[in-house]
Amino acid sequence: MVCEVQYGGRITDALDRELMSCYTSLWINENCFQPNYNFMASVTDFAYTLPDAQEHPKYMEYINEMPGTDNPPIFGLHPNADLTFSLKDSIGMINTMLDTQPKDGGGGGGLSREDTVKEKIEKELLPQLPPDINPLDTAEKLRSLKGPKGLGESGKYDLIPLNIFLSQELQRFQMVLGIVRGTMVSMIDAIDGNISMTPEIVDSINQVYDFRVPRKWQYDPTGAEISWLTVSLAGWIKGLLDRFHQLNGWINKERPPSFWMTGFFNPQGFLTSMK
Amino acid sequence: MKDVIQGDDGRIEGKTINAPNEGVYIHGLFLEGAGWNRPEKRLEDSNPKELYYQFPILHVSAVSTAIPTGGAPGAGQAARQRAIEAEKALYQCPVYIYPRRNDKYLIFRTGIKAEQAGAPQGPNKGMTAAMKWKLCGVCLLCSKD
Repeated sequence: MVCEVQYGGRITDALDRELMSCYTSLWINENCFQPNYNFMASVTDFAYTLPDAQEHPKYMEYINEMPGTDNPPIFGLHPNADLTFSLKDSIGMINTMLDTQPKDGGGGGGLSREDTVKEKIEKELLPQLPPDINPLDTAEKLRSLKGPKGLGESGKYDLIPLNIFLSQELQRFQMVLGIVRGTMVSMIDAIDGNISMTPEIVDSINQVYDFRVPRKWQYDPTGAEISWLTVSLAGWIKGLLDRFHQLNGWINKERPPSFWMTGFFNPQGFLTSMK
Repeated sequence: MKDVIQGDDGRIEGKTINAPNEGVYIHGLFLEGAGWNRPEKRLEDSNPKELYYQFPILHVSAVSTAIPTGGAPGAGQAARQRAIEAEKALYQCPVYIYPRRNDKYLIFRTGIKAEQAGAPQGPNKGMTAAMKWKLCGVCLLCSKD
């Protein structure tokens, strides 16, 4: 009852509610009224109990006795949870430090920031990009892409739900690929002085220099996500190639026996169309 | 009729596999918050310092979860009882795209086996296996960062 009416704060969706009802059914029940009730009997370094007292000071005394930091097992978590928490903390700190690094200056000796980025794009990134996907070719291939067990009609295989899904994924992939190629080319042009430097291009150059993913590749102008989120540029490019590999193999050969769901833009759509 | 996803397929990666007759196979998921007992196809406590576990291939298919109601005593009753028991042994594990867990990145939930058959009750009263994993925050992730 208590948990069903809780809303707000940390409890905002159905899963939070489920967790809350899990805690309450575990801890708020008749058992607490028994003497020496222990909330988490498997935790041994401190006994979390209800103090058996009527007076306020007794409670205060008990509260002061509690350990300063709570261990994850009290909440039923594995000790590894502490590790995850510390990792997140330090990654956050390192990112803040990266942001405070000076972007220009340095000067003298070696390549300038712009030249480094230009060389990196020309020699490493651009040649790695997969070829553009031709929508006409795709439609042609989809029509002859057979479904399993004689599903669909000959010549109309593009109407099989999973094949429709595939064509949508290919369209979105091509959209991202177009943006990426476009930004890379305009970064080079801007560095060469062929087009004027916009704040957006400067941002992209800085991000490539820092081995981070240009914002334009991950979000559209409204701030909605258009691709996968990764921390490093290398990880993002690898994601691009892996995704291309899966989609390309699917359209050109056949439906793979096992799908890499991470590589889909719309995994919910995938699960819906496979039914 | 509701779709449920069955996830206790402990296939070893690297073997050539054929597409299933019904539904699809999915690979490349990571298990966070617990370890996986491959031979018994169930959750177990994670090893210290092992934050993620590469999850075996998952077989996703649509099946009916409607628990057969009432019906004639005998066969119908037994089937109903079995369905309820099977449901209890599963932990409804959420699957997310990124470790940042919220509604936006939730894809679906899959039932995975939570308990060893006939495991002794832990020291915490009234805690079921599914509850234990719920408190552990066990989930499957598509990507580790």
